[in-house]
Amino acid sequence: MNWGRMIQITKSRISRGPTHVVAAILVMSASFFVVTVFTFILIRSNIALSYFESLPQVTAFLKDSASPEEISNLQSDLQATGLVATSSLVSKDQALAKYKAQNAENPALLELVTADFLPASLEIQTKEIKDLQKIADTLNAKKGTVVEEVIFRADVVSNLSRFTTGIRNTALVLMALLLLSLTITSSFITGLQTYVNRDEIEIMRLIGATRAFVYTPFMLESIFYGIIASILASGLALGSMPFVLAWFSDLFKGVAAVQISPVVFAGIVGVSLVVGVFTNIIGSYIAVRRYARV
Amino acid sequence: MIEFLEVSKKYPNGTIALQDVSLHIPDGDFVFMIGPSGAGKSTMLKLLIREEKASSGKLMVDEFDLSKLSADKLPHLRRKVGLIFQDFKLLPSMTVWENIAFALFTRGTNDKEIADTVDEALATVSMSDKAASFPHQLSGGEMQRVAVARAIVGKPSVLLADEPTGNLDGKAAWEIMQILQKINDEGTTVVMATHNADIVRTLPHRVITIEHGKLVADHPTRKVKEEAKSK
Repeated sequence: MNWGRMIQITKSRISRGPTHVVAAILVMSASFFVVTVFTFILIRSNIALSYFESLPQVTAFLKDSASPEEISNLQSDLQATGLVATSSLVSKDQALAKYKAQNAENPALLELVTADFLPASLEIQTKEIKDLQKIADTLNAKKGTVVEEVIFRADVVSNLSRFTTGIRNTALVLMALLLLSLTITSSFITGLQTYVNRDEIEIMRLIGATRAFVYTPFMLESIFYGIIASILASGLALGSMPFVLAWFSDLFKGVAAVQISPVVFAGIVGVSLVVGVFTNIIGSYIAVRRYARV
Repeated sequence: MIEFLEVSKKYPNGTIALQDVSLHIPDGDFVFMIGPSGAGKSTMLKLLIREEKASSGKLMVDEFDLSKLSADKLPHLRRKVGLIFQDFKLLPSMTVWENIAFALFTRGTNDKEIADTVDEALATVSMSDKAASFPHQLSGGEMQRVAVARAIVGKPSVLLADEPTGNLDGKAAWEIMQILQKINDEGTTVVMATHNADIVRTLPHRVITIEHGKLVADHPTRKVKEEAKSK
C-alpha cells in the first residue's frame, strides 16, 4: 500500500472540487449537529424521567406498639432487599408538624389533632419504580406486627411507569431514524463524489490499479469529510448549549440539575465522530463498488 | 501470446455474444478484428482484459489463464495489456503528462522512473510539446495519441485497440496507425477492432472476421499469403 500516493490522489480530488467539498461538509455538519443536540436532549430527558420515577413512595404506618428495635429491624430487612433507595422514619411529632404545615389555613382541623393521634410511619423510595410493588408486598406481610397499614397507589405508579417507558422507547426509535437518516445522507454525499469521479475509477481499474488503490482514496476522502463535519457540528453544538440548557432549566424547573458534564459532551462528540466516519466509509465503499466493477 | 479455445460468452439476459471461438495470436502479431456492429468484437476485447468473464472455454493471455484468474491477479494482467478506446477515456482534469503518468502512478512506480518513461512515451507518439496541455485543448487525433502513450507507457506485451480511429478524420487515423505499427515493430502484439475498410485493405496484417459471435474468417498476413503462394 502506497499511502503517500493515495493521500496525494485524495488531496487532488478534494482540491479539484472545492464547491462540492464545502457543500458536502455543510450538509454533513448539519446532520451531525442535529444528532449531537438530539443525543444531548435525550440524555438530559432521561435524567429528568429518572427524577420523576424516583418520586413515588410506599408509606407504611406503624403500630403505636412498635418498639424502636422492631422499627429498626424492619428498616434493615427492607435495606437488605437491595431495592430501596431511601427509607425515612417519620415520628409522631414529625407527622404532626407535617399535618400542621399542610392544614395551616384550616385551624379547625388543627385543634382536634395531637401527636398521639397520628401514627409514626416509614416512607420508602426504591431505586427503580417497578420495585415499589415488591416493597409494598413485603410491608403488607408485616401487617399486624409492626405495620398498621400500607399506602401504595399502584395505579398511579403503573401509569407513570408506562408513560416514562413510552417516552424512552419513542426517543430510541427517533434516535434510530435519525442515525438512519445520517447514514443515508452520508452515503448520498460520498456517492455523489464517487459518481463525479466514475471515469477515473473505470480508467484506474482498466490500467491495472489494485482494488486498494481505487478504494482507499475515496475512503480517505470520506473520513476527511466526516472528521471536519464532526468538528464543525461539535463546535456548533457547544455554542448552542447555553440556549439548550436555558430551555431545559425552564422546562424542568427544580426537577433535576441540568449542568452539562464535559465528559458527557466529549462522549457525545466522540460517538458522533465515530458514527459519522463509519457511515461515510460504508457509503463510499458501496458507491465505489458500483463503479469499480470493471 | 493470446489463445482462445472454444470460448463462449452468454450474457445473463440470454444474448450470446460469442460462440465457440478458437483462435491463436502469436507474440508480435498485428491482427485486425472486423465485423458488423454487435458481432462480438468488443466482447472479445473485454474478455481479454477480464472486463467480462467467458461463460465457457479457455482463454490465455501470456501466462494468465483468464478463466481461473483471481481478483488480486487482475491488476497484473491489466498491466500487461494496454488499452485504447474509441472515446480516448482521458481524464479532463489532468494534463497530457499527468494522464500518461497516472497509469504508472497507480502501480507504485517511483517518480524518477515515471518521469523518464512518460517522456519516452510522449516522444513515441510525437506529443512532447503538448505535455502541459489539457485534453480539451487537443484535437481528436492528439487525444488518441495521448491515449496510445498511456497504453504503452507501462510497456505491455499486448495492445488492444477498440475502434481507435473511429472518431478521427482520415489523416489523424493514419497517424495513429503509423504509431501502432511502430509499437508492433518493437515487438508488442496488437489486436485492433475496426470498421475502417481502407486501413484493413491497405495494411498487410492478419484479419479476423467475427459475425453473430462466431469466427467466420481468418485471413493470414499478406506476407504469409505470399510465402504460401511461392511454395
